[in-house]
Amino acid sequence: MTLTVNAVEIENLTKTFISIRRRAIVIPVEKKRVEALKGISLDIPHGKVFGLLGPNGAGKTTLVKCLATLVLPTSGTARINGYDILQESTHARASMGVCQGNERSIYWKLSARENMIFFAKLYRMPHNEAKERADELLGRMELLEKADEKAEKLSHGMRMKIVFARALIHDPPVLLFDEPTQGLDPTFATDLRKYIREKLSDKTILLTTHYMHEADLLCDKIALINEGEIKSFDTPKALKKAVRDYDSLHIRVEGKPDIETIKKMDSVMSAAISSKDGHAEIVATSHDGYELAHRLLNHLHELPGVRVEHFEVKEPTLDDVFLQLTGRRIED
Amino acid sequence: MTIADTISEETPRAGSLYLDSFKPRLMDWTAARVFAAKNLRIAMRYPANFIIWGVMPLLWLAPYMLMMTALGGPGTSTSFTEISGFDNFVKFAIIGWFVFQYVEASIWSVGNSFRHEQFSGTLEPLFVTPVPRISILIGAALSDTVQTSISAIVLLTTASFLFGVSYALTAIAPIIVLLLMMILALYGFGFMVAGMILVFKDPSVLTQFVGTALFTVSPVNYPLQALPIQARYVAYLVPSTIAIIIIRELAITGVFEIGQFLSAAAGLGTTILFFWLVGIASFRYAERWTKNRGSMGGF
Amino acid sequence: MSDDKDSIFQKMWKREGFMAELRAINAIAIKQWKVEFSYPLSVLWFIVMPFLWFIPMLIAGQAVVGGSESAVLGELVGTTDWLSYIAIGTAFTGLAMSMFWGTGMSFRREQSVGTLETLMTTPMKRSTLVWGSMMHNLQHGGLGVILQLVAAVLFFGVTINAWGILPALAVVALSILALQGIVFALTCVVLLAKQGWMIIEFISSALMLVAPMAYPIAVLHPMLQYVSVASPLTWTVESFRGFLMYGFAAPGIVTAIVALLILDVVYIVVGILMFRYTERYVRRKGALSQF
Repeated sequence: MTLTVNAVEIENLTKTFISIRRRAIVIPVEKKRVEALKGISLDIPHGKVFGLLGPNGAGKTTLVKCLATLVLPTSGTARINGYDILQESTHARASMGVCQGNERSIYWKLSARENMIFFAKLYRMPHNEAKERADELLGRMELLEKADEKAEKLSHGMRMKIVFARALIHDPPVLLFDEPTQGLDPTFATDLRKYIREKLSDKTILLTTHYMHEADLLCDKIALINEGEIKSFDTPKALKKAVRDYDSLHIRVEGKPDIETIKKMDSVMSAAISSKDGHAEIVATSHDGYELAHRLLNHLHELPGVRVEHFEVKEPTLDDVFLQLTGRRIED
Repeated sequence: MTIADTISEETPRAGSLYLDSFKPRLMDWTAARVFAAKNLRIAMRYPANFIIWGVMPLLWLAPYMLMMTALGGPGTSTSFTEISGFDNFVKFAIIGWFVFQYVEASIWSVGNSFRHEQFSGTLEPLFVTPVPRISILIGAALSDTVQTSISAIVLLTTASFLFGVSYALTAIAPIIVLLLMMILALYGFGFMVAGMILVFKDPSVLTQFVGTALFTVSPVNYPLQALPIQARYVAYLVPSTIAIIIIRELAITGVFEIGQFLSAAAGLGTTILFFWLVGIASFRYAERWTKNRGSMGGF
Repeated sequence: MSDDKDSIFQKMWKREGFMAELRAINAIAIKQWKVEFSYPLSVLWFIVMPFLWFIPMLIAGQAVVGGSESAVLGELVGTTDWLSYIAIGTAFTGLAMSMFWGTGMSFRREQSVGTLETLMTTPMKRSTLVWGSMMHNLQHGGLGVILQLVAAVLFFGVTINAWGILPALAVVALSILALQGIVFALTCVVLLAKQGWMIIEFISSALMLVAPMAYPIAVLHPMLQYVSVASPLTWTVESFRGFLMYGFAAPGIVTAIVALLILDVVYIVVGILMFRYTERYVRRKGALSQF
């Protein structure tokens, strides 16, 4: 094993998807280029938990798949544990555990234990050792009692536990978690986060999520990613500090006011709106939230068909940082 | 009085134009047509299918012709003529394969279409619509008949051309009538298979098993006389056997005999009745079975 | 990092190499058995399939020959014992089918349920996955061959030359490389084409058609005979049957084995290159999980 300064090093990674729509078998009709990653560079030191935070379609999953050697980058490269993902992909794969938040990534027709043993063998373990390791991890996930039941008979949460444990089977130094808590019930999500924080403290973890509190809670450093680019990269504290001078104003209204007018108002740094069922939620940032609140509420009051239901001036969150940087909200 | 009673007594039912005019029906032809059209539309997205399904059976038919040629000599053998009454076994077999395409389809298609819905997750939404199941089954069967007819005709044409045989068209009308009756009988059979697929999930094994067994006892490549006596009785339980025999005779000799036709039609009529009753009953049973176990969407 | 934990990762690291890939191959083969046997009907099918495919051929043969000796076949291949000829020849069908279909279909299944990506993140070689699947299909199909041969001997009075059994097994082993070349190519089709199974059906049926399982290639159209000569199945079936019918005295056995050796090299090289290229292509497109 080569010793490197950083556990994960990403160098100017780009990925462009070109999809061709065909009308007939041979004649391509329409080329569509999607730049999923636009030159990502990142270094993650050993033993750090690193978060990638961004809305759906920002490029998080593409980045993880590139690192996991499932997708070939268009240009640039990355090193996992010192191994180049293009030149030494087998070694890179041996160095990491990948957990995609997909309960279908294990065999439903096999039991929890059979799944674990099977994958352990793909990580070169002899049968007895594989069995031991499987039981050890299933024990930690409190799944030993159900170890011999087919995965199809288990609950969603239990299957996710197997998926999660599977990523740890060879005790890799680097872990890639792609939305590990997506769709989980809150109790189990909390357990999982606790496990990551307490039991995996010696690992280097790259975690993608669109839950801000999760990133805030777990990550030493966070990169905010949008449209294939890293917009900002720092500790959660520093990121929030950068927008500490601003307040964020949350207003819920009935009706749908024009957001462009609000964006043009004095002292508005950024503003976004999301509407549903005839109600809308406006988030705006400003140096002085209370002063803006006064003017904005007056403005809304004058609009026909718009009625303010609730308003609040909040301390900045990561979502506000993201909004400030990209004009989008993460959980859109 | 239970809570449920109280509620149902005091709360008026929500009504709408749709609900008020809604009456449960035994058979919903519109739904069947819509479902068939949907299946055909999906099939049209893969136009290569029609050609492939016309050509593929050629690749299965050819080995039989080649083997029979290698063992008995080209085109004809005394032994074959003795037991079948026909002198050309290639001509004998090709028309048999043509008719058997419908049998094959009745086993594969309805079941596979269910399986497909099961896989893509659309089976459960389909089953919560207020449409009688039988309409969905018939819809699936109708679209399959259209597809099978196209590929069976492609097969008949290409095989006749390649092996240099031709058939008499003088008795085409009774052929079509018998073919339609057989298809109708096979629908019932297809319902039975669809039910089995709901229960057993993995259709490839089951359908292959049933398909091969039917192929073995059906007079496709060889006449019934080539079978052991017990197997001949089984063959008559298959809805297609009478049809294959009579259609073959009509296509090869071109001679139409009213008495023979009527008795074949009566025989097919009986099988239609029998297989529809058995088919629908077993599908109903299978549906209840899966509902009890809650395993309809799973695979 | 605790010592104990450290060692798991370190041990894995040190185990790199052929044995590790072999272990993975074995694990994949076993896993495939377990998945298959969770569908109860597949067990039944698996036992009766070889007979069922053979029986209609037997009846058709009986219908045209009308006895146990075929003079026409005698002229073509030198033996009038048509029953042994087709029983041993078609016994290979199950194995070939299982090889051609198994890998492509298991890739398809893994792709559509979502396990393929997970497999691809493990440190085994990408081609190991195909070899593992081959191992399973070989076991599966091999059992089928044995079952059909046993049935042929017990029920249909076919005689097998005992001296030919070991060399016949060697022929099967020899054919694996070339057949695997075809399997690699078929796997590419599955990875690339939406309805890959149709193409597999077409290619495998076409290969079966030109293989001398139930008839000698002499009855084929001359153009198809050329195709047949280039197919490893042809030489495999010829020498497999040759050994089982005549033992070492089988006619033309040397030619068949040399041809098979040459085709082995050609097919496996082409197959592996195709697989490599396709696998990279698919990853470039990011389409591993799409279907």
